[in-house]
Amino acid sequence: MTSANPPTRTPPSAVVLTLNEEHNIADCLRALGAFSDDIVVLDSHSTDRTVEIARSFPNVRVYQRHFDTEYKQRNFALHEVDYRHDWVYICDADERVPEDLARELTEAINDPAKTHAAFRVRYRNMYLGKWIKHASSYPVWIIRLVRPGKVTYEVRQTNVHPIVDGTIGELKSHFVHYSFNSGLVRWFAKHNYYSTREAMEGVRIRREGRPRLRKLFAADPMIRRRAMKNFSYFLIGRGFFRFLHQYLIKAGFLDGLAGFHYCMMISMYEYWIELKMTEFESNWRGATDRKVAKMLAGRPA
Amino acid sequence: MSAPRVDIMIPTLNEADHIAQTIANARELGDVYVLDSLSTDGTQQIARDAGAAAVVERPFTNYSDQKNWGIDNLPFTGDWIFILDADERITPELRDEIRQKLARAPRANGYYVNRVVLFMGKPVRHGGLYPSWNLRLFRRGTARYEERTVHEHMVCNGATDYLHHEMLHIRRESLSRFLEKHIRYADLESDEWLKWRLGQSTMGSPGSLFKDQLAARQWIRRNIWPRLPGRPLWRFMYMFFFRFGFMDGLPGWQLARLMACYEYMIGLLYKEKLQRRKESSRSLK
Repeated sequence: MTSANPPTRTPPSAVVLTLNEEHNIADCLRALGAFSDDIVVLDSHSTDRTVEIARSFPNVRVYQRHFDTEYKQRNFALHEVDYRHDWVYICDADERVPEDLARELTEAINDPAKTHAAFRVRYRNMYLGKWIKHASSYPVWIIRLVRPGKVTYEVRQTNVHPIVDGTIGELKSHFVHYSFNSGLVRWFAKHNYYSTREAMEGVRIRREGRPRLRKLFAADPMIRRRAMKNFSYFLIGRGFFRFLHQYLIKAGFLDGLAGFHYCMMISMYEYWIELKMTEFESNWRGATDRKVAKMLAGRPA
Repeated sequence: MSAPRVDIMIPTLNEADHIAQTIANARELGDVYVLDSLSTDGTQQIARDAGAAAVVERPFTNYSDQKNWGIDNLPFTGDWIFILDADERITPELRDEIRQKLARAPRANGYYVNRVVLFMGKPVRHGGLYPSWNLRLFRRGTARYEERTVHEHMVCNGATDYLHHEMLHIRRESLSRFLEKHIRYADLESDEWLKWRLGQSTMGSPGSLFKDQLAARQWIRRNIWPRLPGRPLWRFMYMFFFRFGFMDGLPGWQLARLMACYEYMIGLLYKEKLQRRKESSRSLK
């Protein structure tokens, strides 16, 4: 707890989900430890030094659970772990909580005028040592501070959103997101995984048929974003459109070379999603096996 | 005089999915020797059950070193060695051709084999992926791989020749696996680029490089290509238009785009590695 806070104010607990985050976890826990005295690391059986490093921090408890799906892991973190405090700040290992956000978190949950069940917050996405504000569609609001009993993650393959029973407040400060800290190989591998999951979700949504247009104009920006996402699964040229959207409409070009590369990488990721949807919907492997059998059977007599 | 025998070496790592089919196909040409890089999916047992003459395990070092070790150390008994990957098949036409050629006591010590890729259920015969000549069949003791961590080449002592019929390269893995592999290759390839940049490559002197076309192409790859801006786009244009990738239809279009992704990943990783190098040398000062 910072000395600026009177001792009567209780901080939130914090939880971090990890899998092989040895490059990130120390900085992440240091930032959390500056304001919270109850930190939980829920690790998916890392094979690097993540757990060892986490255990070396005071006020940190480490639990391990086999990672099955994102929403189950996140719901486990919220509902099966006992926290010392009523509020929990959810953090990823590649995120850092700066001082101003730390102060605001504690103020928000100790303010009797605020009766929210959760708070959402914006973040600054960093690439090549730079805040890529435009390329990463700033501002994106994300729910990070919650009362665990009031929040459940939706059933979805990846990029899960929390469902909140109650009102949602907004925080002014930002956290900082270093998605490239563990190196690009890791980023590519992660997005290979995410794109498979997104494609599975896309195939499911395409099977259900187009969603209603009305949702595209919903007042809630989170519902709007999700509706847009669902529509996007019916699009041809996902990668191309995402690039146009991020680089021109969202003005990613203002972020210089870092912005360009970020937009390209996101566009590549979208291309992978689209191609994987094609792969799942038309059976490539079966077609290949049939063709091979034919070619190995020898020339026609 | 009995016909010359061909031993087939198959390097493997976690190929449980189709190693049985590979061996069944290879055994029609000769005895099969599996060099396994400590698979964890039971590849070794499947290979034995499928009738491999020997399954030898060795921790993976890099592609060229691993295969060179296999060439030197597997208990081959035949006069010739054919190197086959687990995702490759020998067509009946190629098998007959090899038998006929070798039975005539050829002068050549090594043979280049042409390879056709099957992707999304179709053979890909354009886009610069075809023809794809690889020295795969050689008289035992006459050929080795050049030492390079990825995209290794074989060097053969003596005359070489080309076989007319082709073998198949089956891309039947999921796209996710395809990308996983290409992320790994991009990582290795960018390491190579860094070595070239720092002048640590094992490749010979520039004077000898223009003696043949392959060497000239390699020189361009090492000294010009990494410095060219817009490589992913060039790679796409080259494959899809200049090498007629569009003639292959949908697989040609997707492969050209995937290879552009691959090229892009190499470039980004190369930049990242250069940057890290600079940072670490700065912090040392």
